[in-house]
Amino acid sequence: MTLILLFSLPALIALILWLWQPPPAWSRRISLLTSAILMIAAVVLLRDTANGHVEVVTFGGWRPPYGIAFAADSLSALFVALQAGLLGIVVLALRPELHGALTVRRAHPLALMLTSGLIGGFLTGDLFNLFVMFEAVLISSYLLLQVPGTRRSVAGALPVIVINFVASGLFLTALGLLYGMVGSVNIADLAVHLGDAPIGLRRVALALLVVAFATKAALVPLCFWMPASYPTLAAPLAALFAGIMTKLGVYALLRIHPLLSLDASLQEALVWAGGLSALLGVLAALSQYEVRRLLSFHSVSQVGFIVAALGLGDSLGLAAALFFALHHSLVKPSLYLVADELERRNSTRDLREMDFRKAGGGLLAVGFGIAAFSLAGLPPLSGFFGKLSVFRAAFEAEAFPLLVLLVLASLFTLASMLKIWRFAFSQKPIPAEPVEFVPQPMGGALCLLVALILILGFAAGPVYTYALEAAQQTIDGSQYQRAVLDASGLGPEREF
Amino acid sequence: MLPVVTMAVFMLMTVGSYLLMHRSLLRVALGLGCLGHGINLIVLSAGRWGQLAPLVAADMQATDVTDPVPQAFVLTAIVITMALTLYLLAVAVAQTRRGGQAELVAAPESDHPLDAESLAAEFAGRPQERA
Repeated sequence: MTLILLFSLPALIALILWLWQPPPAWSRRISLLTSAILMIAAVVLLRDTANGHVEVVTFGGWRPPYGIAFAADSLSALFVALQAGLLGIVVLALRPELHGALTVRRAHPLALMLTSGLIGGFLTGDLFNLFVMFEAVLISSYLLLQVPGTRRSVAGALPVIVINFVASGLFLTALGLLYGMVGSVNIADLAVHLGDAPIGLRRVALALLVVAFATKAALVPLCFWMPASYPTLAAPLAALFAGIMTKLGVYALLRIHPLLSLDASLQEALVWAGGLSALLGVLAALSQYEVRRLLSFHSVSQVGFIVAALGLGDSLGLAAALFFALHHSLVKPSLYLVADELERRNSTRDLREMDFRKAGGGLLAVGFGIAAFSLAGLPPLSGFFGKLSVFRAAFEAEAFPLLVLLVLASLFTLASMLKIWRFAFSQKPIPAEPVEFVPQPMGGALCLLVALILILGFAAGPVYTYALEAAQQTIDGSQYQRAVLDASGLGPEREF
Repeated sequence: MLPVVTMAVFMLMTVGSYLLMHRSLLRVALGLGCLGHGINLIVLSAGRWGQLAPLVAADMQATDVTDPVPQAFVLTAIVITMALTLYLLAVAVAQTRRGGQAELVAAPESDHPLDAESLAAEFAGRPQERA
């Protein structure tokens, strides 16, 4: 029941908002209320799945593997909770008086639609259904990309559409191959029966899947749609995209990696793609002068850390990936919100034209400092524990070249954060016009995110333990398979 | 049946990939269409090119029947492809209305500073109206 509510409520509210077109203040209240309900449902789900229980719902009375099943274990529950929380924060941050009433009115239903697609993707136990959810997410995101309606946002959206279309095509091809070999696309069923399939075809299908998911997660050779499009969005929406949308690709990789037992060569490819993304992404970020472009290249780098860790494939690696994903989903949105404030107060996007006297002083600087140092990995903030767990996983797996790549990437991350600091918080442009210093408060959403980063830093122990348990359960996979395949419903027992 | 389908997939994929390499958005849209249909044929092949429609009668052998599930998959995929192609073309039109060509171009960066008017419009979150 919780699963159906989580998936359908945002879609329903989105439709209502679309048809009703209420004034921004009302649409804000309704979206916030929806997000609160989702958060409560997500907490219930987290509690229910905490002891390894897997919640399963089947549709239309079909028993798996014939029908579509939704299944939630602690891995799914964690991502669902993250999405529910981020939706609330983004709705809070998107203010009609700052971003324009039209933007707000257009963005709310789309953000809810996006949420519905993402939650569906996190919950579904069926690969074809996952494909449909990917498309739902992509279509909402394409529409969100058009919300600013500027020439730049139009031009930025085109490569996104084309590249993601091709990636979806690869995903669908892989689905065709898997269905041809096994006769179902239920993930739990594939986990049981894929081992009997011919090795060559299986390898091709899994490789196609990995490439498709890596494109959606924006790993290095496949990442160029992301820096083209994210900077064109209204900043809170970019925060939503960077915080959670790439995580759907990461989640899909986390799910299929242990269950469909990827070949060693594919695992190796993931580790290398992750390591190279981590380094090249941050180098590209370092060369940017536009804050939001810098941040979107950073996302490539951070996703690289996550994928490299999950490519290692043991429970330490998966736990590190999970913890890092959680940390990144809090830090990246807060940096986007800081960038938003900086750009508005300076009325420019270019770091070189920024002036520290316009930045509004103390609070924003503190907020940025906490988020930036967390991203760079300084203790006792969440990023330190995230990086520590990734490094430890790499060390235990004796992947020393990866370790070198990641350490270098961390160094450059710090450098790129210092670059923002130097330009936005400590310089005056050379022909300095007189500017009056006006202290300004920090947005409520940003305060909330910064508080969450601090909490994650100080509660790193319990959260990491939770991630480790979720990782072990995902790698073991037997509970998930048993729960899905034993779900009640009509239809014959599977014969072969 | 299978050799014919294989040839068709091969040709659709080739033409699709070739068209995708162009800048012109019309060609890209056509290329995506070709690619999509090639992939749809692959998925359909997963359900066997049987002789009989999947309507089960008492005296039928299950092996003669085409599997209906991939057909359902493909139906979904065709709808999604159509929606995305339409959307791509709509964005192309939007780009020409904003004074550009219907081509894939690099998004303007802030390194080439945006003019004050469009920047103000962007910060106000108001879509730019241009004749």
